Amino acid sequence: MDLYIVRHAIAVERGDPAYPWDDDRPLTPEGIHKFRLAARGLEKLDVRPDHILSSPLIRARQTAEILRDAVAPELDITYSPSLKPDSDFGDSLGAVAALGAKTVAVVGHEPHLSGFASYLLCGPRQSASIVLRKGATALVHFPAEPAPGLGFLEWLLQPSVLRRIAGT
Amino acid sequence: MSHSSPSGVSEREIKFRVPENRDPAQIRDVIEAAGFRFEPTGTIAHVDRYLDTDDWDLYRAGLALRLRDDAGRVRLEAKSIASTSPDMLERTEWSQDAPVGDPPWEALDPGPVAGLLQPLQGLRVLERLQIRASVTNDRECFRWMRGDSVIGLLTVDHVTAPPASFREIELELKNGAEDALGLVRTAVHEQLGLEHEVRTKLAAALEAAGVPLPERDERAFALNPADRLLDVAHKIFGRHLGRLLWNEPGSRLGIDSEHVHDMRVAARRLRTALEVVANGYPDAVREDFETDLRWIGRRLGRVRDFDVALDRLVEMERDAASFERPALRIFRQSLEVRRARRRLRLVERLDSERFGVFLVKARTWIEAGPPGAATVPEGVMPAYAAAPRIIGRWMDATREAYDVALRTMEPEDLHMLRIAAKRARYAYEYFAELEGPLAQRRAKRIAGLQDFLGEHRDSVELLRRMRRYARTVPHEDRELVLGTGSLLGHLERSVRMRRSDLRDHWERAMAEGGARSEGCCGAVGGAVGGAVGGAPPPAVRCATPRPGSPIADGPASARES
Repeated sequence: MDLYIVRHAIAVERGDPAYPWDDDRPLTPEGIHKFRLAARGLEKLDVRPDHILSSPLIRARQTAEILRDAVAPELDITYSPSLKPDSDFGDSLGAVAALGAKTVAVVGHEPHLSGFASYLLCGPRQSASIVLRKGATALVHFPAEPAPGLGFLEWLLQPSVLRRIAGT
Repeated sequence: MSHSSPSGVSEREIKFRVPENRDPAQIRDVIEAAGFRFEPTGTIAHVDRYLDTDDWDLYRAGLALRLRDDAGRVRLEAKSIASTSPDMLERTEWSQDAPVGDPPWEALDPGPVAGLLQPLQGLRVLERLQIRASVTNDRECFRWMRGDSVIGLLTVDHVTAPPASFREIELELKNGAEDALGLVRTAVHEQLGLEHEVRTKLAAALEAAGVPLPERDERAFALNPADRLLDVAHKIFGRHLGRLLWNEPGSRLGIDSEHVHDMRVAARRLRTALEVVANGYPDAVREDFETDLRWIGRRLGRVRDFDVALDRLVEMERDAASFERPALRIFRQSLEVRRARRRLRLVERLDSERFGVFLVKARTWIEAGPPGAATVPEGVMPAYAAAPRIIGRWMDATREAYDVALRTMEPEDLHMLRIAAKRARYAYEYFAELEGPLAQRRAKRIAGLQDFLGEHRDSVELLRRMRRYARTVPHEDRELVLGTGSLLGHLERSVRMRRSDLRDHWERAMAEGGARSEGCCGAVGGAVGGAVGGAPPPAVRCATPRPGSPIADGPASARES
């Protein structure tokens, strides 16, 4: 199974008083512009998920929609609370596994996603240091069923690289 | 048009009040015959306690807040009251765990409801909350199916709102199936003659308890024929101050943009009254209130401008080509972020000491009754005698502004004409109760001109904003570059106003004579401007009172905004 881990694009800053409830922070126009190009980079890399699973928070939803429009316009996006910032990694993995799909893209938040990636690569007891900038994507491959510590990191591309790929 | 906080969940449902002589199963049968089926899923019971302040701040803001006790788990739920669709109940819900204990509360834990209510903090809403109604609901639940797909939920509610009780059937749509609610509504109406219910349970509970929902009462400010100018001035101020206050909670909350619109209109009418009916107000009052009203009106206007622009973009999206839609959506998002910031600044202003002081002074002035004749010597004139002169004066100013605008067709002159028309319209409306239905009709026709000019102004503003956005679009994104360019083209075409269109709208506004004040030479007396207003008088010329005839010269004195 292939799992694409996508961090949401640039959003309105945390603590912006115009958005008193953090879940309401949307992407900025700059964030949308940049991720549209990054998503085109993913499309050039033949990223074709069978499912897109997203955190229900607005900034993740918007990112998932841009991703979907670029790589798989026919897909419906599934929103799962198991990808919210404070979710348990086991729950997140459970939500992915429940889809029973070969290729899944998850869209979520930091630090949850880098922790989740580490959990998939090293299991619950060890940790890998992973940096996912806003709009970055990592591909974790599982030779069999997805399980903690059994994943292999195929690649991790920061958004500036994805944009460059889009322009080639 | 509603604008909701993004963390709210949209709910689409339809409900029917079950008549006492009817079995709810009959309604279910009719719905099943329309191509649906139901599977029972069990029963639940919950108690809803509706919360609001003593003066119904939340209800006035368009929100129902309740504590829902569902088998011991208590949630704090907020729901918009007005439906955004006439065909169903389409509302937004926010929910989080309830605080410990009953209200009032000092604060809420962070959550969607806390975020939603944050802008109301300046009104100390949480500290003033009380339980206004209580409803018990024993609910039978069914899966609502079409074929093998679950499309929603049907519930039969046995509602007890002491001393009354009633039954309701609710159908809530969960997944797509956009047509299902319409099919159900038609079937139930045709087979059983039942209309879908639009009243909320809160309204039903209050009605059962004999508690009236709040309504704005303006009876104290009705004009009567014996009123002096100073009485009318005082009543106009009282009426529009009431409207401003009524809309303050809704303007803060921001789930329905109409509140900001209404509050802004109230502020504008108050400020215009100080100018148009200047001789009815003491100088000190005019000077004092005018600056504060301009100060708060400007903030309201800045939010309103974005609301209008966003509504226009929603309309544009309906007709947009697919390659234009991404640009339109991102542009809309950029305006939404900016509007959120403007709204924050508006709330800061409403929370400010200066606004608080203004409200205290304004309320005190209204409660003290009309000012004494000594402070407003010219205000003792009977209003019915002063009205024609005042209206005539502002109509003359409008004619002058029209003449300039027609000659130049410059956006700024068209804007000035809009402002002049607004003042003339308000002048008619302020005295409409004394001047009769003809004045009301004239005011309505001028409003048509004002709307036409307003739409043009909105397009000019939208074009300016879109040009600014276009500069930020990355060149590598060809789709966005093309889409933005095409949208700019549409907007540029829409701001080109033809002289003949302006002339048509003007003539419509001035058509068929009407109010007795219209002819400036007859009842009005063309040269009285200086005696009527505190603002610099327009140079009124007594042209033949011919409807639609612009007065060609004299300064466009309406150019203060």
